[in-house]
Amino acid sequence: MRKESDVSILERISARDPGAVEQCLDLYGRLVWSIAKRLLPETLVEDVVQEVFVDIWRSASRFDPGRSSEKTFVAMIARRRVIDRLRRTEKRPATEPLDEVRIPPDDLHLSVETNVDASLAARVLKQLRPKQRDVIQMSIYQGMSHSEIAAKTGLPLGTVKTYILRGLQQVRDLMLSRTGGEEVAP
Amino acid sequence: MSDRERLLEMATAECTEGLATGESEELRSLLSRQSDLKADEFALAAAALELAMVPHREALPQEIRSRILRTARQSVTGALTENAETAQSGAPSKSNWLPWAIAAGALLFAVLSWWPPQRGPRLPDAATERSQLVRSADDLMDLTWTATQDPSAESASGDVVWSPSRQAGFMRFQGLEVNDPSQSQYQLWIFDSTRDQRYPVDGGVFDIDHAGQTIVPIRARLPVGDAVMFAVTVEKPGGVVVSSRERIVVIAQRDG
Repeated sequence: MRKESDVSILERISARDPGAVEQCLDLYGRLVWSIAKRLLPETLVEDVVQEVFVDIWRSASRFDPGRSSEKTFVAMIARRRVIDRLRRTEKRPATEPLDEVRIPPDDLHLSVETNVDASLAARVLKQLRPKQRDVIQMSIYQGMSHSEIAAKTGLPLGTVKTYILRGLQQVRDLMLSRTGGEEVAP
Repeated sequence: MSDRERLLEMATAECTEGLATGESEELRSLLSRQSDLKADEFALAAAALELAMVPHREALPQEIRSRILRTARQSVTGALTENAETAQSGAPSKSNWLPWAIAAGALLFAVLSWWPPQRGPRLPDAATERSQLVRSADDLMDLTWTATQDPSAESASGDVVWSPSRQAGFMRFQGLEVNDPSQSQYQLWIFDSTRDQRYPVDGGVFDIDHAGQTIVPIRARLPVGDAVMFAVTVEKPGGVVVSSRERIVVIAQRDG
């Protein structure tokens, strides 16, 4: 019989374990809140955070540890809901200029969560050319649209799309080639 | 542009800047026609990049955490949050109670969706859930929509089913005009004979993204004691607390 510690939070939510809801909030509240607060106007943050947790509970049975870690799956759910809402609102939060948030490639390992998927993504980011890394950071971190990135950088829109696509493909390929989905122990 | 190029472009957009109305369906269609890119692969990669780049240090405020937890627990035990009821008994203020009433309704629906227990990897879609409700609820109300003169309802038809004991129901539409969610959304109102008729129960905001049949689950924000009428209005994006009722598109009324 599997110990409770071996069963993921999302599996327990799928099984309607009431204790799992609180643990889900404890584990992922910070992650979801941070994503929403960074990308959304303040007036929308609380509502969207609630919606994200509903999405997590409804999607819990779709989690596949063979494809990603649980944290990555939760981050995906949060980003999807936030991006959807961001697209439907005209107001965007003011984000810090890229110069103030750009993470030097050598420091990426310092900001990486103890998560194997994040480690793989950091590896990809480190070996990208600076311009491509900036484009990906503007897209993922600052939530800028492809057109906005093109306007800001002066790059053709097609180049922006290609930079992002290739970055995603490289991370995806590494994630597909990894085994398991276990968190890296601190 | 080839289908594959379009697929890669849309999969990239979906997880970074979002898709326009209608594009989600196009993406699903493209994914179903080829096998080397699975749904969510790019979205998971984007999430991994997020985790690599961003520290996520800001804690979920305790007050919000407590609200989510309280509402989830009460939903599991079948009791809706007292806060939503208490708040509405006074002067409703959107900033105070609506987000939590919405959460109460949404979480209750999420819990109701867990019955019967999920066997497969996918949650049932609205059509399946509607069929299950129709088969199993022995107090089911089944009403036909009557279209008004509103331009959105020119070709509209359909029905609404509601189970008082389950506090669950579904709207079915055919021919209701497609809306642009950035401009307006549809909102359901449930007129409850046990409540003040000036304040019908908010049944949820929804969109119509294609002209064919659409099934929409009802997300009542509060318990509905005795539903006598259902009405759909056109409102601003996100819906409203109290409708001006300027644009009522369809109505379904119980006889007697």
